[in-house]
Amino acid sequence: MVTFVYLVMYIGMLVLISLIDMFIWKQSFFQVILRLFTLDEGTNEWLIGGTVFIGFICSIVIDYRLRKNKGQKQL
Amino acid sequence: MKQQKLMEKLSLWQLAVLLFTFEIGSVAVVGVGNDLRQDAWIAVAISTLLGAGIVSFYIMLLKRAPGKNLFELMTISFGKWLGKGIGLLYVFYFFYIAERVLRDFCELITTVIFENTPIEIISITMMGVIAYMIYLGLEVFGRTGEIFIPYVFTFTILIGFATFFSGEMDFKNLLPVMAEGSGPIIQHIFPRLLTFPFGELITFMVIIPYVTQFNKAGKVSVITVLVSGMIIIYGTVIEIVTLGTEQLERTVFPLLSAARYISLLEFIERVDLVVVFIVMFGIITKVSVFFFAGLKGLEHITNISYRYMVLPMATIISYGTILISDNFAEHIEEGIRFIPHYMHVPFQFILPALFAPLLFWRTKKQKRGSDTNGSK
Repeated sequence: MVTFVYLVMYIGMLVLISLIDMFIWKQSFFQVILRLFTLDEGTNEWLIGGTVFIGFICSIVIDYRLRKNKGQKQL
Repeated sequence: MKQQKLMEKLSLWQLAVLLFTFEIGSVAVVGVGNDLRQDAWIAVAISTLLGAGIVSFYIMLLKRAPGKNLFELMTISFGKWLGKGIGLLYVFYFFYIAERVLRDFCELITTVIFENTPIEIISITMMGVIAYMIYLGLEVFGRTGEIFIPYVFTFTILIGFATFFSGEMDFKNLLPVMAEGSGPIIQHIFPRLLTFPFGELITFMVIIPYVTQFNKAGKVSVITVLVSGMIIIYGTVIEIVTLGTEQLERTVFPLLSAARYISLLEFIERVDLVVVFIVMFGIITKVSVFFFAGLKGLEHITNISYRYMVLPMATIISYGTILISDNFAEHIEEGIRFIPHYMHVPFQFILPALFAPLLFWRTKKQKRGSDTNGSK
Protein backbone atom coordinates (compact mmCIF):
# COMPACT_ATOMS: atom_id res chain seq x y z
CA MET A 1 0.00 0.00 0.00
CA VAL A 2 2.87 2.41 0.84
CA THR A 3 4.41 1.75 -2.61
CA PHE A 4 1.05 2.39 -4.26
CA VAL A 5 0.64 5.64 -2.32
CA TYR A 6 4.20 6.58 -3.27
CA LEU A 7 3.51 6.04 -6.96
CA VAL A 8 0.20 7.94 -6.80
CA MET A 9 1.87 10.87 -5.07
CA TYR A 10 4.88 10.85 -7.41
CA ILE A 11 2.80 10.76 -10.58
CA GLY A 12 0.27 13.21 -9.13
CA MET A 13 2.95 15.73 -8.21
CA LEU A 14 4.54 15.40 -11.66
CA VAL A 15 1.18 16.06 -13.33
CA LEU A 16 0.54 19.05 -11.04
CA ILE A 17 3.97 20.57 -11.74
CA SER A 18 3.46 19.96 -15.48
CA LEU A 19 0.03 21.64 -15.47
CA ILE A 20 1.47 24.73 -13.79
CA ASP A 21 4.39 24.84 -16.24
CA MET A 22 1.93 24.45 -19.15
CA PHE A 23 0.01 27.46 -17.82
CA ILE A 24 3.10 29.60 -17.33
CA TRP A 25 5.06 28.64 -20.46
CA LYS A 26 2.12 27.91 -22.82
CA GLN A 27 3.68 24.58 -23.82
CA SER A 28 2.11 21.18 -24.48
CA PHE A 29 1.98 18.52 -21.75
CA PHE A 30 4.58 16.33 -23.47
CA GLN A 31 6.98 19.23 -23.98
CA VAL A 32 6.77 20.07 -20.31
CA ILE A 33 7.19 16.45 -19.16
CA LEU A 34 10.20 16.06 -21.46
CA ARG A 35 11.73 19.21 -19.99
CA LEU A 36 11.15 17.95 -16.44
CA PHE A 37 12.92 14.67 -17.10
CA THR A 38 15.85 16.15 -19.02
CA LEU A 39 18.93 16.37 -16.81
CA ASP A 40 20.45 19.80 -17.47
CA GLU A 41 24.19 19.83 -17.90
CA GLY A 42 26.19 21.31 -15.06
CA THR A 43 23.44 20.73 -12.52
CA ASN A 44 23.22 18.07 -9.84
CA GLU A 45 19.72 16.91 -10.68
CA TRP A 46 20.89 13.29 -10.52
CA LEU A 47 21.13 13.79 -6.76
CA ILE A 48 17.40 14.30 -6.35
CA GLY A 49 16.75 11.60 -8.93
CA GLY A 50 18.77 9.24 -6.72
CA THR A 51 16.93 10.42 -3.61
CA VAL A 52 13.51 9.81 -5.12
CA PHE A 53 14.66 6.32 -6.18
CA ILE A 54 15.81 5.62 -2.59
CA GLY A 55 12.33 6.73 -1.47
CA PHE A 56 10.80 4.20 -3.87
CA ILE A 57 13.02 1.38 -2.55
CA CYS A 58 12.15 2.40 1.02
CA SER A 59 8.43 2.22 0.28
CA ILE A 60 8.86 -1.33 -1.09
CA VAL A 61 10.84 -2.35 2.03
CA ILE A 62 8.19 -0.79 4.32
CA ASP A 63 5.44 -2.64 2.46
CA TYR A 64 7.38 -5.91 2.79
CA ARG A 65 7.84 -5.39 6.52
CA LEU A 66 4.17 -4.49 7.02
CA ARG A 67 3.13 -7.66 5.15
CA LYS A 68 5.60 -9.77 7.16
CA ASN A 69 4.30 -8.37 10.47
CA LYS A 70 0.73 -9.03 9.39
CA GLY A 71 1.61 -12.63 8.47
CA GLN A 72 3.30 -13.20 11.85
CA LYS A 73 0.25 -11.81 13.70
CA GLN A 74 -2.04 -14.19 11.84
CA LEU A 75 0.14 -17.18 12.89
CA MET B 1 -3.52 -3.14 8.20
CA LYS B 2 -5.26 -0.55 10.36
CA GLN B 3 -2.85 0.78 12.96
CA GLN B 4 -3.81 1.90 16.41
CA LYS B 5 -3.81 5.70 16.44
CA LEU B 6 -1.22 7.31 18.68
CA MET B 7 -2.67 9.96 20.92
CA GLU B 8 -0.43 12.98 20.55
CA LYS B 9 -1.20 16.21 22.28
CA LEU B 10 -0.08 19.82 21.86
CA SER B 11 -0.38 22.44 24.57
CA LEU B 12 -1.99 25.82 23.84
CA TRP B 13 1.41 27.50 24.12
CA GLN B 14 2.91 25.06 21.61
CA LEU B 15 0.02 25.77 19.23
CA ALA B 16 0.65 29.51 19.58
CA VAL B 17 4.37 29.01 18.91
CA LEU B 18 3.73 26.93 15.79
CA LEU B 19 1.16 29.42 14.49
CA PHE B 20 3.51 32.33 15.05
CA THR B 21 6.54 30.77 13.37
CA PHE B 22 4.35 29.42 10.56
CA GLU B 23 3.07 32.94 9.84
CA ILE B 24 6.46 34.62 9.74
CA GLY B 25 8.12 31.70 7.87
CA SER B 26 8.14 32.59 4.18
CA VAL B 27 7.17 36.21 4.86
CA ALA B 28 10.60 36.75 6.42
CA VAL B 29 12.20 35.41 3.22
CA VAL B 30 10.37 37.10 0.37
CA GLY B 31 8.38 39.79 2.23
CA VAL B 32 4.79 40.73 1.50
CA GLY B 33 3.18 43.59 -0.38
CA ASN B 34 6.45 44.80 -1.91
CA ASP B 35 4.56 45.98 -5.03
CA LEU B 36 2.56 48.41 -2.88
CA ARG B 37 5.76 50.25 -1.95
CA GLN B 38 5.24 52.52 1.10
CA ASP B 39 1.63 51.33 1.58
CA ALA B 40 2.58 47.68 2.10
CA TRP B 41 2.18 47.89 5.87
CA ILE B 42 -1.41 49.18 5.50
CA ALA B 43 -2.32 46.18 3.34
CA VAL B 44 -0.68 43.83 5.86
CA ALA B 45 -2.62 45.46 8.72
CA ILE B 46 -5.96 45.02 6.93
CA SER B 47 -5.08 41.45 5.94
CA THR B 48 -4.19 40.63 9.54
CA LEU B 49 -7.68 41.60 10.69
CA LEU B 50 -9.25 39.63 7.85
CA GLY B 51 -6.86 36.74 8.63
CA ALA B 52 -8.18 36.62 12.19
CA GLY B 53 -11.66 36.30 10.68
CA ILE B 54 -10.51 33.45 8.42
CA VAL B 55 -9.02 31.56 11.38
CA SER B 56 -12.26 32.04 13.33
CA PHE B 57 -14.13 30.48 10.39
CA TYR B 58 -11.80 27.45 10.36
CA ILE B 59 -12.17 27.07 14.14
CA MET B 60 -15.96 27.31 13.83
CA LEU B 61 -15.88 24.38 11.37
CA LEU B 62 -13.67 22.34 13.72
CA LYS B 63 -16.02 23.00 16.65
CA ARG B 64 -18.89 21.35 14.77
CA ALA B 65 -17.18 17.99 15.28
CA PRO B 66 -14.64 18.25 18.12
CA GLY B 67 -11.59 15.99 17.78
CA LYS B 68 -12.01 15.61 14.00
CA ASN B 69 -9.46 17.08 11.61
CA LEU B 70 -9.96 18.64 8.17
CA PHE B 71 -9.95 15.28 6.36
CA GLU B 72 -12.41 13.69 8.78
CA LEU B 73 -14.68 16.72 8.46
CA MET B 74 -14.67 16.28 4.68
CA THR B 75 -15.63 12.63 5.03
CA ILE B 76 -18.49 13.67 7.33
CA SER B 77 -19.64 16.31 4.84
CA PHE B 78 -19.16 14.61 1.47
CA GLY B 79 -19.36 10.95 2.42
CA LYS B 80 -16.59 8.32 2.44
CA TRP B 81 -15.46 8.21 -1.20
CA LEU B 82 -15.97 11.81 -2.30
CA GLY B 83 -14.56 12.99 1.03
CA LYS B 84 -11.42 10.91 0.56
CA GLY B 85 -11.11 12.05 -3.08
CA ILE B 86 -11.19 15.71 -2.07
CA GLY B 87 -8.87 14.82 0.80
CA LEU B 88 -6.35 13.50 -1.73
CA LEU B 89 -6.51 16.81 -3.60
CA TYR B 90 -5.73 18.57 -0.32
CA VAL B 91 -2.76 16.23 0.18
CA PHE B 92 -1.38 17.29 -3.23
CA TYR B 93 -1.98 20.93 -2.31
CA PHE B 94 -0.21 20.62 1.04
CA PHE B 95 2.78 18.79 -0.43
CA TYR B 96 3.06 21.21 -3.33
CA ILE B 97 3.05 24.24 -1.01
CA ALA B 98 5.64 22.48 1.20
CA GLU B 99 7.83 22.19 -1.92
CA ARG B 100 7.39 25.87 -2.71
CA VAL B 101 8.20 27.00 0.83
CA LEU B 102 11.29 24.79 0.91
CA ARG B 103 12.37 26.20 -2.47
CA ASP B 104 12.16 29.75 -1.03
CA PHE B 105 14.59 28.74 1.68
CA CYS B 106 16.91 26.81 -0.63
CA GLU B 107 17.19 29.84 -2.92
CA LEU B 108 17.97 32.10 0.04
CA ILE B 109 20.64 29.76 1.40
CA THR B 110 22.37 29.16 -1.93
CA THR B 111 22.35 32.92 -2.64
CA VAL B 112 23.51 34.15 0.76
CA ILE B 113 25.48 31.52 2.68
CA PHE B 114 26.31 28.34 0.76
CA GLU B 115 27.06 29.84 -2.63
CA ASN B 116 29.01 26.82 -3.86
CA THR B 117 26.72 24.14 -2.45
CA PRO B 118 24.24 22.60 -4.91
CA ILE B 119 20.64 23.52 -4.16
CA GLU B 120 19.78 19.81 -4.29
CA ILE B 121 21.96 19.13 -1.23
CA ILE B 122 20.19 21.88 0.76
CA SER B 123 16.81 20.48 -0.24
CA ILE B 124 17.69 16.89 0.70
CA THR B 125 19.33 17.75 4.05
CA MET B 126 16.56 20.14 5.12
CA MET B 127 13.92 17.58 4.24
CA GLY B 128 15.91 14.95 6.15
CA VAL B 129 15.74 17.08 9.32
CA ILE B 130 12.03 17.78 8.83
CA ALA B 131 11.23 14.11 8.14
CA TYR B 132 13.07 13.04 11.31
CA MET B 133 11.19 15.61 13.42
CA ILE B 134 7.81 14.60 11.99
CA TYR B 135 8.65 10.91 12.41
CA LEU B 136 9.23 11.54 16.12
CA GLY B 137 5.76 13.02 16.37
CA LEU B 138 3.74 16.16 16.87
CA GLU B 139 4.81 16.55 20.50
CA VAL B 140 8.50 16.66 19.55
CA PHE B 141 7.62 19.18 16.84
CA GLY B 142 5.81 21.34 19.40
CA ARG B 143 8.66 21.15 21.89
CA THR B 144 11.20 22.10 19.21
CA GLY B 145 9.15 25.22 18.59
CA GLU B 146 9.07 26.00 22.30
CA ILE B 147 12.86 25.85 22.53
CA PHE B 148 13.55 28.17 19.61
CA ILE B 149 10.74 30.74 19.90
CA PRO B 150 12.46 33.05 22.45
CA TYR B 151 15.44 33.47 20.10
CA VAL B 152 13.27 33.97 17.02
CA PHE B 153 11.09 36.57 18.74
CA THR B 154 13.98 38.44 20.38
CA PHE B 155 16.10 38.52 17.22
CA THR B 156 13.14 39.76 15.15
CA ILE B 157 12.56 42.65 17.56
CA LEU B 158 16.29 43.42 17.89
CA ILE B 159 16.78 43.70 14.11
CA GLY B 160 14.45 46.73 14.08
CA PHE B 161 16.19 48.42 17.01
CA ALA B 162 19.65 47.67 15.63
CA THR B 163 18.75 49.16 12.23
CA PHE B 164 17.32 52.23 13.97
CA PHE B 165 20.40 52.79 16.13
CA SER B 166 22.64 52.24 13.10
CA GLY B 167 21.02 55.40 11.71
CA GLU B 168 19.90 53.65 8.53
CA MET B 169 16.18 54.35 8.92
CA ASP B 170 14.45 57.18 7.08
CA PHE B 171 10.84 57.41 8.20
CA LYS B 172 10.08 59.78 5.31
CA ASN B 173 10.10 56.64 3.16
CA LEU B 174 6.66 55.86 4.59
CA LEU B 175 5.24 58.96 2.88
CA PRO B 176 3.03 59.69 1.01
CA VAL B 177 0.38 57.48 2.58
CA MET B 178 -2.03 55.96 0.04
CA ALA B 179 -0.89 58.27 -2.75
CA GLU B 180 -2.70 56.14 -5.35
CA GLY B 181 -5.82 55.69 -3.24
CA SER B 182 -7.16 52.51 -1.72
CA GLY B 183 -7.65 50.65 -5.05
CA PRO B 184 -4.19 49.02 -5.34
CA ILE B 185 -4.27 48.02 -1.67
CA ILE B 186 -7.64 46.28 -1.99
CA GLN B 187 -6.53 44.56 -5.20
CA HIS B 188 -3.39 43.31 -3.49
CA ILE B 189 -5.17 42.07 -0.38
CA PHE B 190 -7.38 39.70 -2.32
CA PRO B 191 -6.20 37.17 -3.27
CA ARG B 192 -2.47 37.59 -2.68
CA LEU B 193 -2.12 38.87 0.88
CA LEU B 194 -5.17 37.10 2.24
CA THR B 195 -4.07 33.73 0.92
CA PHE B 196 -0.41 34.16 1.80
CA PRO B 197 0.23 33.89 4.70
CA PHE B 198 -3.18 33.99 6.43
CA GLY B 199 -5.25 31.61 4.31
CA GLU B 200 -2.50 29.01 4.53
CA LEU B 201 -3.59 28.52 8.14
CA ILE B 202 -6.09 25.99 6.79
CA THR B 203 -3.32 23.44 7.47
CA PHE B 204 -3.90 24.04 11.18
CA MET B 205 -7.31 22.41 10.76
CA VAL B 206 -5.27 19.20 10.87
CA ILE B 207 -3.26 20.21 13.95
CA ILE B 208 -5.74 22.06 16.19
CA PRO B 209 -7.77 18.90 17.03
CA TYR B 210 -4.65 17.60 18.84
CA VAL B 211 -4.60 20.56 21.25
CA THR B 212 -5.29 19.57 24.87
CA GLN B 213 -7.66 22.44 25.68
CA PHE B 214 -9.59 22.49 22.43
CA ASN B 215 -12.18 24.98 23.76
CA LYS B 216 -9.53 27.64 24.17
CA ALA B 217 -7.74 26.89 20.86
CA GLY B 218 -9.92 29.35 18.93
CA LYS B 219 -9.12 32.30 21.17
CA VAL B 220 -5.41 31.43 21.24
CA SER B 221 -5.29 31.08 17.43
CA VAL B 222 -6.95 34.44 16.81
CA ILE B 223 -4.70 36.24 19.31
CA THR B 224 -1.59 34.58 17.80
CA VAL B 225 -2.61 35.57 14.27
CA LEU B 226 -3.03 39.18 15.44
CA VAL B 227 0.37 39.13 17.21
CA SER B 228 2.14 37.55 14.22
CA GLY B 229 0.38 40.10 11.97
CA MET B 230 1.83 42.87 14.11
CA ILE B 231 5.31 41.35 13.78
CA ILE B 232 4.85 41.15 9.99
CA ILE B 233 3.81 44.84 9.97
CA TYR B 234 6.89 45.61 12.09
CA GLY B 235 9.12 43.75 9.61
CA THR B 236 7.47 45.44 6.63
CA VAL B 237 7.98 48.91 8.15
CA ILE B 238 11.66 48.08 8.83
CA GLU B 239 12.06 47.06 5.18
CA ILE B 240 10.36 50.23 3.85
CA VAL B 241 12.16 52.74 6.06
CA THR B 242 15.57 51.09 5.66
CA LEU B 243 15.59 50.19 1.98
CA GLY B 244 13.27 52.85 0.59
CA THR B 245 10.53 52.09 -1.92
CA GLU B 246 12.78 51.88 -4.99
CA GLN B 247 15.14 49.31 -3.52
CA LEU B 248 12.29 47.43 -1.83
CA GLU B 249 10.69 46.77 -5.21
CA ARG B 250 13.94 45.44 -6.68
CA THR B 251 15.29 43.37 -3.80
CA VAL B 252 14.65 39.63 -3.67
CA PHE B 253 15.09 39.09 0.09
CA PRO B 254 14.03 42.43 1.68
CA LEU B 255 14.47 41.70 5.41
CA LEU B 256 17.91 40.24 4.77
CA SER B 257 18.91 43.28 2.71
CA ALA B 258 17.68 45.58 5.49
CA ALA B 259 19.63 43.67 8.15
CA ARG B 260 22.83 44.09 6.12
CA TYR B 261 22.71 47.83 6.91
CA ILE B 262 23.16 47.16 10.63
CA SER B 263 26.45 48.46 11.96
CA LEU B 264 26.65 49.23 15.66
CA LEU B 265 29.73 50.55 17.47
CA GLU B 266 31.84 49.44 14.49
CA PHE B 267 31.63 45.99 16.07
CA ILE B 268 28.18 44.43 15.55
CA GLU B 269 28.03 43.88 11.79
CA ARG B 270 26.97 41.21 9.29
CA VAL B 271 23.94 40.25 11.38
CA ASP B 272 22.20 38.97 8.27
CA LEU B 273 23.01 35.51 9.63
CA VAL B 274 20.52 36.24 12.42
CA VAL B 275 17.86 36.77 9.74
CA VAL B 276 18.89 33.46 8.18
CA PHE B 277 18.38 31.81 11.58
CA ILE B 278 14.88 33.32 11.92
CA VAL B 279 14.05 32.30 8.38
CA MET B 280 15.44 28.79 8.82
CA PHE B 281 13.32 28.11 11.86
CA GLY B 282 10.25 29.67 10.25
CA ILE B 283 10.70 27.56 7.13
CA ILE B 284 11.30 24.35 9.07
CA THR B 285 8.06 24.95 10.96
CA LYS B 286 6.09 25.86 7.86
CA VAL B 287 7.28 22.92 5.75
CA SER B 288 6.76 20.60 8.71
CA VAL B 289 3.17 21.78 9.21
CA PHE B 290 2.34 21.31 5.51
CA PHE B 291 4.15 17.96 5.44
CA PHE B 292 2.42 16.73 8.60
CA ALA B 293 -0.98 17.86 7.30
CA GLY B 294 -0.40 16.00 4.02
CA LEU B 295 0.75 12.86 5.84
CA LYS B 296 -2.31 12.92 8.11
CA GLY B 297 -4.41 13.14 4.97
CA LEU B 298 -2.71 10.04 3.57
CA GLU B 299 -3.19 8.30 6.92
CA HIS B 300 -6.90 9.08 6.76
CA ILE B 301 -7.18 7.85 3.17
CA THR B 302 -5.14 4.65 3.50
CA ASN B 303 -5.65 3.75 7.20
CA ILE B 304 -1.87 3.28 7.56
CA SER B 305 0.03 5.19 10.26
CA TYR B 306 1.61 8.29 8.76
CA ARG B 307 4.99 7.32 10.24
CA TYR B 308 5.41 4.58 7.62
CA MET B 309 5.08 7.18 4.86
CA VAL B 310 7.36 9.89 6.26
CA LEU B 311 10.57 8.86 4.48
CA PRO B 312 9.13 8.03 1.02
CA MET B 313 7.04 11.23 0.96
CA ALA B 314 10.00 13.33 2.18
CA THR B 315 12.01 12.16 -0.85
CA ILE B 316 9.14 13.21 -3.15
CA ILE B 317 9.06 16.67 -1.56
CA SER B 318 12.82 17.19 -1.84
CA TYR B 319 12.55 16.05 -5.48
CA GLY B 320 9.62 18.38 -6.21
CA THR B 321 11.40 21.31 -4.56
CA ILE B 322 13.95 21.27 -7.37
CA LEU B 323 11.57 20.26 -10.13
CA ILE B 324 8.91 22.99 -9.64
CA SER B 325 10.97 25.63 -11.40
CA ASP B 326 14.26 26.07 -13.21
CA ASN B 327 15.22 29.26 -11.40
CA PHE B 328 14.09 31.71 -8.73
CA ALA B 329 12.51 34.12 -11.23
CA GLU B 330 10.25 31.35 -12.57
CA HIS B 331 9.45 30.29 -9.01
CA ILE B 332 8.29 33.82 -8.10
CA GLU B 333 6.37 34.16 -11.40
CA GLU B 334 4.39 31.00 -10.62
CA GLY B 335 3.84 32.27 -7.09
CA ILE B 336 2.26 35.48 -8.36
CA ARG B 337 0.40 34.39 -11.51
CA PHE B 338 -0.83 30.88 -10.76
CA ILE B 339 -0.71 29.83 -7.11
CA PRO B 340 -2.94 32.45 -5.42
CA HIS B 341 -5.75 32.25 -8.00
CA TYR B 342 -5.83 28.58 -8.92
CA MET B 343 -4.54 26.85 -5.78
CA HIS B 344 -4.89 29.02 -2.69
CA VAL B 345 -8.37 30.39 -3.36
CA PRO B 346 -10.06 27.02 -4.14
CA PHE B 347 -8.41 25.13 -1.28
CA GLN B 348 -8.52 27.89 1.33
CA PHE B 349 -11.90 29.43 0.65
CA ILE B 350 -14.07 27.73 -2.00
CA LEU B 351 -13.89 24.13 -0.74
CA PRO B 352 -14.32 25.04 2.96
CA ALA B 353 -17.25 27.30 2.00
CA LEU B 354 -18.75 24.37 0.05
CA PHE B 355 -18.42 21.81 2.80
CA ALA B 356 -19.43 24.15 5.65
CA PRO B 357 -23.23 24.01 4.98
CA LEU B 358 -23.06 20.23 4.50
CA LEU B 359 -21.09 19.86 7.73
CA PHE B 360 -23.61 21.99 9.64
CA TRP B 361 -26.47 19.93 8.24
CA ARG B 362 -24.84 16.54 8.92
CA THR B 363 -23.69 17.40 12.46
CA LYS B 364 -27.09 18.91 13.29
CA LYS B 365 -28.77 15.71 12.08
CA GLN B 366 -26.39 13.55 14.14
CA LYS B 367 -26.94 15.70 17.22
CA ARG B 368 -30.71 15.52 16.79
CA GLY B 369 -30.43 11.74 16.39
CA SER B 370 -28.36 11.36 19.56
CA ASP B 371 -30.76 13.67 21.49
CA THR B 372 -33.73 11.52 20.40
CA ASN B 373 -31.94 8.32 21.48
CA GLY B 374 -30.99 9.93 24.78
CA SER B 375 -34.57 10.97 25.55
CA LYS B 376 -35.83 7.42 24.82
